[in-house]
Amino acid sequence: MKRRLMEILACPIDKHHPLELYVFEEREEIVEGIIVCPKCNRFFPIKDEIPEMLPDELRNVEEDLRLLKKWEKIIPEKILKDGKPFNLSGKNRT
Amino acid sequence: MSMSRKLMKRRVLERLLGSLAPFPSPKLHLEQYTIPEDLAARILSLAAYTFNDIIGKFIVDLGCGSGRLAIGAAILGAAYVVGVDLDPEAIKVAKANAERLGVKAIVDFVLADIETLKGSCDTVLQNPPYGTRKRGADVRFLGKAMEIARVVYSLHKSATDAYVREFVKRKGARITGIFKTKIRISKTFSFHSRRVYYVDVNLYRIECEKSSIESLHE
Repeated sequence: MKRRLMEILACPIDKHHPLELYVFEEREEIVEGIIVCPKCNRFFPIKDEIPEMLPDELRNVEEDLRLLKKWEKIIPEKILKDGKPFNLSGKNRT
Repeated sequence: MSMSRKLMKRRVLERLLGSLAPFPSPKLHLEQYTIPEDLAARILSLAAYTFNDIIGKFIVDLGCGSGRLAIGAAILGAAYVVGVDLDPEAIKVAKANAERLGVKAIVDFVLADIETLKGSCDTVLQNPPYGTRKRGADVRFLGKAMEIARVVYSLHKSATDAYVREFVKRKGARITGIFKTKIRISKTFSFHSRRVYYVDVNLYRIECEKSSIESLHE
């Protein structure tokens, strides 16, 4: 994913725009990272260069949690503990 | 560009697009039909050379599937192209297709519903669901395209022509060209009894220049 994509992405849940971008791995383009909605605190994964802006019910919970775990050290506390629709705190898994 | 050079470019583009991988497994509810390469190449060269809506522009393909229109736009010289689709398999195939044709650096494919897009681009190119299986899908795509783009190229069944015209007018946009053609649909789903179908479709070119008063209210 290229950084320019952020120009036209909104949160699929509350339509908020612009969204925040956290890059974990970048080569010619962003390989892994998360896109965060500052309004509802949802995170959306970027895996294998592909951003996944899916509604909650279509998400791959295990894969998304694995991504959070992998980059735990550099992901902001607000996502690790209170991120939606699930997070690493062990609670509010919806 | 001369007529024959244009035609040559179109044939080359057609061959390139025809070499791309199609949908691995078409899903009925998403009405996934791969756009035939000759039609894709015709739409792309019309947009690029007759109307100058591709070269150097920011292009979005809504419901991009395996990415033919998006990748074709990139090949013809778009500045940046975004393809959106809700099917993870289609997005993976599209991404691999872009890489194979060497346009990966200017194309992004996003796994998302089209409602995830906000903001503005120059041109939307789309072969949306025709709304046969899921009613209203066609106008949902058309509405989103007109919201984000300055110019929209959209394919619809001819049977819905009156409705499309009325919808575009109601949204304050303007149809500046209608190109009638037939789309060849190969047997994709089990309910198709014949091997090849021809469906009458119209390609609409729509200008959605927002008036200054409208922009003030946004």
